[in-house]
Amino acid sequence: MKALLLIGLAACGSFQDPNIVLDLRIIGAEATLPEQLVDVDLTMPPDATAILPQIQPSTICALVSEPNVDERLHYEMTLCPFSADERCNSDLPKVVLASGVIEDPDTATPEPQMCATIEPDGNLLGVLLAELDGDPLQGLAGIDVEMQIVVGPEGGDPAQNVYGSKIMRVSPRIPATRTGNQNPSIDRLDAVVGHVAIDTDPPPVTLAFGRCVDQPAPLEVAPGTVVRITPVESADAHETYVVPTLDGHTQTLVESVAYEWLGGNGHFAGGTSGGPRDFAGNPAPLFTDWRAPTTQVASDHPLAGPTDVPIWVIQRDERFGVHWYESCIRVVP
Amino acid sequence: MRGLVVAALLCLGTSAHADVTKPPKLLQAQAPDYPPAALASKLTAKVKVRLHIDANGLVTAVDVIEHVGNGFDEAAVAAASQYVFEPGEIDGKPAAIVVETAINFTIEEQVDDTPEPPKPPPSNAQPKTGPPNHGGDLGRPITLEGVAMERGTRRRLAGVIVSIEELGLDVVTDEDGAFFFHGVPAGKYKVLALDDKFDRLERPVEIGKREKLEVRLWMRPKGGNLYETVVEGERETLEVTKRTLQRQQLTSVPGTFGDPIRAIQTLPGIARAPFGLGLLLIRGSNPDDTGIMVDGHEVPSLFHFLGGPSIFNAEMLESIDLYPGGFPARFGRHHGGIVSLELRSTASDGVHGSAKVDFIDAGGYVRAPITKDLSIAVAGRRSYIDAFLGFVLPDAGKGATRIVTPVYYDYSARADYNLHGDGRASIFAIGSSDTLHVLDKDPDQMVSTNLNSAIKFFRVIGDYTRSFGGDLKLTMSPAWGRDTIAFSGAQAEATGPFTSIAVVNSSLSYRMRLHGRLDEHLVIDTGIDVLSRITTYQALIPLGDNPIVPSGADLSPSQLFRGAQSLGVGLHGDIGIDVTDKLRLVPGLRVDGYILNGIDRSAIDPRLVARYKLTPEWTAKAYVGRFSQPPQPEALDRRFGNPKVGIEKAEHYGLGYEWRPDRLWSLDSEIYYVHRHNLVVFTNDLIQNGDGTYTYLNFKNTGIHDSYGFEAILKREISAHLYGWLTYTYSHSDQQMEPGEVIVPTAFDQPHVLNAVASWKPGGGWELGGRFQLASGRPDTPTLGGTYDADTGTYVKLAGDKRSIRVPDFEQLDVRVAHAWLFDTWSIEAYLDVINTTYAKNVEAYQYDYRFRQRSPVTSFPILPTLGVKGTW
Repeated sequence: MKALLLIGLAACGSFQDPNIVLDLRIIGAEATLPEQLVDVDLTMPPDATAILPQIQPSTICALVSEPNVDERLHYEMTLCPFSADERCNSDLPKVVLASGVIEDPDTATPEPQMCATIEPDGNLLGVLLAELDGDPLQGLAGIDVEMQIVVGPEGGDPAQNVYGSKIMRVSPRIPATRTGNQNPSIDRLDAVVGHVAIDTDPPPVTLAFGRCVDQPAPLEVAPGTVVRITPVESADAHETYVVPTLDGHTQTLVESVAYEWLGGNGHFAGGTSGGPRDFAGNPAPLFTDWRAPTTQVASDHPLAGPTDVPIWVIQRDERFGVHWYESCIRVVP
Repeated sequence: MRGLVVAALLCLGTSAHADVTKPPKLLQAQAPDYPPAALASKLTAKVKVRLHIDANGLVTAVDVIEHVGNGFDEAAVAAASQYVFEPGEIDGKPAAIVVETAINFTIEEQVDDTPEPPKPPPSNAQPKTGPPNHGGDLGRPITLEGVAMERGTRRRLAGVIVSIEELGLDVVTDEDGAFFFHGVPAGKYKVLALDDKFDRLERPVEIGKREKLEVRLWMRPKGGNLYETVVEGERETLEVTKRTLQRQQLTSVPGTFGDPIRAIQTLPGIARAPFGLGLLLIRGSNPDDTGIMVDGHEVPSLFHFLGGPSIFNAEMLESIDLYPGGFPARFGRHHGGIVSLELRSTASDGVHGSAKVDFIDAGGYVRAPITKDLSIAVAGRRSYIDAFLGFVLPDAGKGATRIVTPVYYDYSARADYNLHGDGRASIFAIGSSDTLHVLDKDPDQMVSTNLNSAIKFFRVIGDYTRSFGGDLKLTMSPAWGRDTIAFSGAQAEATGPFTSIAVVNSSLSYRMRLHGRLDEHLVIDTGIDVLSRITTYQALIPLGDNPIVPSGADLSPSQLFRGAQSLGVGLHGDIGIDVTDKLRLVPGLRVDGYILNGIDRSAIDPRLVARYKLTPEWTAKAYVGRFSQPPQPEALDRRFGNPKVGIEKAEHYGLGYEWRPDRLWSLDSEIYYVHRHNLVVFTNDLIQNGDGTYTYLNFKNTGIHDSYGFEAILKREISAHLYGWLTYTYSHSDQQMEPGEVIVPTAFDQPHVLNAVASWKPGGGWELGGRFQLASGRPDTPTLGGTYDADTGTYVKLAGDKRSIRVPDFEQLDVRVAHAWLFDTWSIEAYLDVINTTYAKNVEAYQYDYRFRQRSPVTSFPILPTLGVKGTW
């Protein structure tokens, strides 16, 4: 116990708040089809001519922000087998599916897109077969293909590049009633301005979607105000799904949906919300409490005037389903 | 002026394991002649001598330990050679014993400013014969009697010379510290008590007419708090490398919180454990590969939770032996090292005890005789972190409740019964409990948590030992234990747990051991070692048997019941053969049979030790042997383990020497190589069954560890004022978890480890101690960056070559200052233990920011002073 207390003291580092975006970051990435099912006999060698026609094109897009400077960004999206470090560094097959330059993602209008489409072609087949080759389950658990995303300032030092990855899973249709995963969704974001306690809170208002640059009149709050933001989920946000088990049976599960909260300034009481129940059986609350900033980002200087703070919500299920939402809150001193 | 010669026993006995059941008792002493030239020159001296006393009580040889010259050495030897003792006994039998004593030659000026005492009548002249603790005319009644006792401990002191100066009468106290003067006439006298280890005591007494006076002479140890007498002696050596710390060394090593187990981490062969944790990292092995034995029975746990103190009260321990490799055949089922705790007998001359308080817990110990043959000791401790934790925890917030209650306690008790010619019997029980209760309610966050965890430990060990004549002893020892680990989590309002785990482990063991000298050339140590264990698991946890669901799935908890049974029967034998008077060979064999979850396993482990006495001071030694370790029965579970997992193996090789120029100093050094193979490692491998289903392999025997190195310890044993040791270990340990995988250093590999420990009692009741550690940094894997995982929202670390770099070297200086105050019947000690006195910022690991761009060192202890008070009576 004594040692633990001391270690606790000794281990206090001071790092940037991971939920506050200060520089170039990949905020999220989503695939239009996060999971695809194919009818295949796992006891037989894979038949390319049978697999590829069952796969639909899936487009993977990345959301990027660079709040520090307005600049053009270059990007590159590479398809490869999944690896532990989620980079396409191995000797296994890989292919660049998209690359280019986009305008500043925070200020350019319309919002720039950074996407690549996985087509059911030889590139995908090569990646699938390479991964299947070392799979002891022969594809029973599905094959995860990885899209590596590399983003950096145009003409900048490659060391400044940031890396991300997004998975698309190709699974056998076992059992036969199994359906592919769809991305989750929410209907709206509710915001309680000036949250103090649940039983005394004012009624919520709806937080409009869209970047700050796209919103002429975002929600206004005073510095230091606590805003409780709650995602209101769509009726079909939690899919019921069936998976095979190792002993030859099946298991039916209901998706849990989690939320990651990011902002341009201020502080989130909980950087994530939702997800599965905790060990005590508490259903995880969906909301987070965001405290509006009183100072300029990453400094001690008070806000000079009305400041628009971007808010991002990344919604995820546990089956590679992802959807993001952008919003904005104006802090008025 | 007159020359005064005083002799007092410094130490006597043999090793802690060959118990001296009766010390030799001085029956007849011959006063040395003060060398005339030295007396004329007013020279004084103290001659330390070692007496070799045979089984008849006669002094067969006298060694001068430290020569002082000027004729003192010769005078001391001449006198000591004439001493006659009542023979000492080992295990109830008269035996040869080595005794050390010091003969002081001092000069006293005659002081004539006191009234002339009444002169004794001529008939009171001291008789020439009689017990040495009786003086005066033995034909007359006792008029003055008393007991010499140590201040602070009330320990009765044998061998103290008590004089009535005015009458020229001297006696020597017996083993109970008692002395008697017969026929001392009424009057005022000065009683003088002298002993080499104690301050000179002068006490005025007045004896009335027809009255008998009883006195207690409270002797103050020189310097106020001497270390207790070191017990050291000859012992049958069957092991090749054993490093021992005595009780006094276990509690006063700076930087260990007075913890006896942590003290052995300063010995060579043990790598430094990070964050001051009590891990025993012996010669590159995993902590689980080292067996912890209490009087031969294995115990699973040494420490209270979360790096807390040792469960064992140091007062209950006599010594701790560390066997870093090549250990005797009586130890098995482990291929790392062995730590053997020897319990302390409760035999006592009265009620003694101690109580200790520091800022985190308080405890006490009491030892007492119940009858002449029965004695007991009890000890206990409880933490009170729970009492003040609420003041330092962060506020739970408005309307929220947070209660955190961590409590640990331990208790132990032992009883010893002396059956005299039929041997000795004892029973020892020890238990501990660590519980943590957390109640957290936050209506605003709509969550509540009721968490309970408990770790409980209990052992009872019986022991019966009797002599079979000569030096042969039979020990029979059963033991029973029960260990529990439990956890439950629930919402505060719930009537039952949402998740829970309970692991209950019951063990029954029995050891029978026959050991001792068979004849002039043969020593044996043989016996059987039986261990039976039943473990049950009950859990309410989310269980998934599908390979698809990633983390984050909301699985409902389900009940799980599993059990594991193991039975191990070991036969062991070591035979020490004195091939010549210089060469001893010890071939050994251990045969183990196991039934693990209904599956049998076996191991045959031959071992060979050789010791060659090059000179009286130098001994060369070598060993080679095989060591086996069964997998945990859980690893053979058909669902969560692998029934085909086999026994782990290791071969130990060592070559070294020992140098013992005298009783106080020793140097022990050796090079070693340990090859461990067939190690059980976890695997995610899957195997496809004939029906097309799949099963996880879970475990396989593919791990390999190799370790080689050099160890040395220069040690000064406890003397009255000083002890310490300097150790150095060079080692290299690497591992390969399965064929084809890259070979990397083991997680705690440290090429260089140096420890220096010293404790000094300069006098005045002070004790000053220091401990310095210098160790290579642990292996680390470089972090090259991170990749944002869009499916989890976290960053995945991009790592460089595994364990290809090291954290910085570690250095730390700990200091301990203590002061003891002695009163007649008790003493009190206050101590300040300062860990990391120089505030060195030692890096134990690095933590990284969320995207692995920035890092911050996680450092070990900052400077940490600990204040405590210990009372002893």
